[in-house]
Amino acid sequence: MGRALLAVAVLLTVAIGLAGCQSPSLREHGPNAAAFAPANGAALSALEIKEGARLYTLKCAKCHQFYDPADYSNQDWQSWMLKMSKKAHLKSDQEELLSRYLDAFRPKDDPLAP
Amino acid sequence: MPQGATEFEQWVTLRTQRTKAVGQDNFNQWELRQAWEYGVSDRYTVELYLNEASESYRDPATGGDISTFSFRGVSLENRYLVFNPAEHAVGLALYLEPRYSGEEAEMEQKIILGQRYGEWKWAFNLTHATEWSENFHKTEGEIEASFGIARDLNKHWSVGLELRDHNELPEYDIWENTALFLGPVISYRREKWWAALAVLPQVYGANFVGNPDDNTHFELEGHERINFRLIFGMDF
Repeated sequence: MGRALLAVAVLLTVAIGLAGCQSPSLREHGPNAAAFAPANGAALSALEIKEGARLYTLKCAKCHQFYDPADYSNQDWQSWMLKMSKKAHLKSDQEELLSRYLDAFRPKDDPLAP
Repeated sequence: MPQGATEFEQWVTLRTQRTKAVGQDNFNQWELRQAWEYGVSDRYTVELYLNEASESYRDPATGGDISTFSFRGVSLENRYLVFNPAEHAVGLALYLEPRYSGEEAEMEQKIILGQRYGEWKWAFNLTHATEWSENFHKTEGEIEASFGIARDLNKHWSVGLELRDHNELPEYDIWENTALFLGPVISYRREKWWAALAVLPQVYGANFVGNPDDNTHFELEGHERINFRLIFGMDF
């Protein structure tokens, strides 16, 4: 019994240590890397990019993978933004900033725009 | 769950097939849970459960069929996201769920780890629970480790595999048994609702105190040969 409890304690220690390991390389190369560096973010201030990334991480990436806005037509993207903003219970100012932040991932000459 | 969001969940779990040796031939236990989940904040979620169970089996000693239905009490799940998986190498959530029914009570704690890689995601739960039953005269400890991995096939379907090992420690005096379950999980989701079905046959089990179930490959006194679990969730 003592060994079992010791094994559990060791496992917990390792697990919590591993979970707390914030990895800069994940931000640069990980699954959600795109969220931190919008391609066309010139229209956003540094503060807006930071807040947009924070909102994206907390409200979107916590639940699902990154869906690249560039893969959607404007119409489809706006429709999804509307649905997901409602689902995520975003406030209007959060919805507006997140929408502008994610729009910055769309190419300027959007081939999918209707 | 996002702050302010609400979800209703219906859980249906069927635990089936024990053994004549333990006096429970043709054993079936249906567990029902109705749950209301609410996002208090983006990191803290609470969920209120109503729990019921229906159990039936044939007693080989008397040949009589026994069937019971019981209200298993109310439980309140508290889940706090310590490390968001989108920001850390591994996500971490802590979980505390007290349950009370008047005649029995339970306190369950979990450490939940998980991460997502594109269409793949995994989660590991380490659970400890203490159950007080028979008007609080009997205490039992439970330790469970479970691991699940799943892949999104498209926007609606995902499939995965779940591995669960459950252990019972009556009065914390002895490690009585262990049972290992392994099986597929399939889930389907729409914008406003989702459902997940898991089929978990016992692949290995052992009793460490005698051999009450007269079986050397499975543990069939406190566990069953196969568990089915269906969860239906609806967003508000």
